[in-house]
Amino acid sequence: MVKFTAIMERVKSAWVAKNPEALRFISNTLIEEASLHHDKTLAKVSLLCYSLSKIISKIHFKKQKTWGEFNKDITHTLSSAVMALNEGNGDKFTESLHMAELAIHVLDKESGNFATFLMDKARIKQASRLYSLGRSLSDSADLTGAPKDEVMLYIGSTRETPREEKDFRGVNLKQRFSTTKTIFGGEKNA
Amino acid sequence: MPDLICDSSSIITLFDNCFAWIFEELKEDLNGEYILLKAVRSETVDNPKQSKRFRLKAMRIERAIRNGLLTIDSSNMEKEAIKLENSANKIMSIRNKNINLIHRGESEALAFALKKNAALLIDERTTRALIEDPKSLQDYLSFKYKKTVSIDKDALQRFNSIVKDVKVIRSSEMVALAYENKLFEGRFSHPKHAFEASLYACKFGGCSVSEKEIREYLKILR
Repeated sequence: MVKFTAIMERVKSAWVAKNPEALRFISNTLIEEASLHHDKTLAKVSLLCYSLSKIISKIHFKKQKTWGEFNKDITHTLSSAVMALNEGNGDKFTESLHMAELAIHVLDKESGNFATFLMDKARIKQASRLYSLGRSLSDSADLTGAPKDEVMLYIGSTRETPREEKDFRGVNLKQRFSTTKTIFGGEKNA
Repeated sequence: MPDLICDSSSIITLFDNCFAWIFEELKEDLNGEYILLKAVRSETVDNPKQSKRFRLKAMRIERAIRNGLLTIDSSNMEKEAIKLENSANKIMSIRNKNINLIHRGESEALAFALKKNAALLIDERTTRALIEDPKSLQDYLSFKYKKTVSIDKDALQRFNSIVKDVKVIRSSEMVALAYENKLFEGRFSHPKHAFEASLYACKFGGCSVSEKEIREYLKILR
């Protein structure tokens, strides 16, 4: 709980300062921590930070009529989350995260610029990050709540680093192809 | 080795790219079934059917199941999967904290392949690396987390002894075999180009085949 309080304080400060880089940094740090501890709450806060950083960076959100109200709502919700943690009230904390997510969804829906919602994009983006950290596809999808189809497409569109190419080879290609031929047709194809 | 156990990652890649025909054409050489566990059906049919974006693909997979091209097995693999997870997820740790390397989706598919003495079709790379080359996975995780990743040699040995005979292939191998068996001819005016495009389609669909491997395939399969 103590650790979470410090994290949420940082999230709130970054939001109040309207600092997208700080929110993105917290988001990426948290998703790494979530992956190490298999902690869905940490993952959820990471997604929230990612979405908030995106909202701050995009002018069209700030031009919306409801921006002022949204800004106040998020600040209030983050304060409630910190307070809930100080009180040791896990349910209230979870509720606060849910309220923040809901507020983002409403703002996003009102802006209506994209077919995919911001929180859904955050799920896919951070699931892909988990995968790049060496987590399995199911684990990455499960921690973030992203659909596997979406994660696969996103992974496919990202460039493989030389390190990934080097470290994920496993059995060499000729051997794997020979195994494939054995599976399909046994001796005939092998 | 009669059956091929299909993980959702490969089903997603292959049906995203309309490669049902490869499953069909290669089936007569398989001498067994393409098997999907019930959970894979949920991930590839039931859940995506709720999304406008993926509904068509889900319907294609559903049709393949209905036509008998893909077989659903309702075996409950939870017990065996947990056993595998317990073993795999003790292999590597950072600051004495075990790293969860495999998750229920992959562990069930792997446990089922072991039970049926079948091969595993999986495009996801972590499970594959864990089975085939855990040392390189350790190096990669150390590099990504910028922390020392320790290996429990006993746990690794236990896991290795369980999975050592499992054969793993990816959707790219099925595409390559289809090309070698001349199944691209008649279907495409430039089979070699279509083969290259198909390998890249697998890669961009999320299959863990590298550029270097694609180049190698293009070199060895004329």
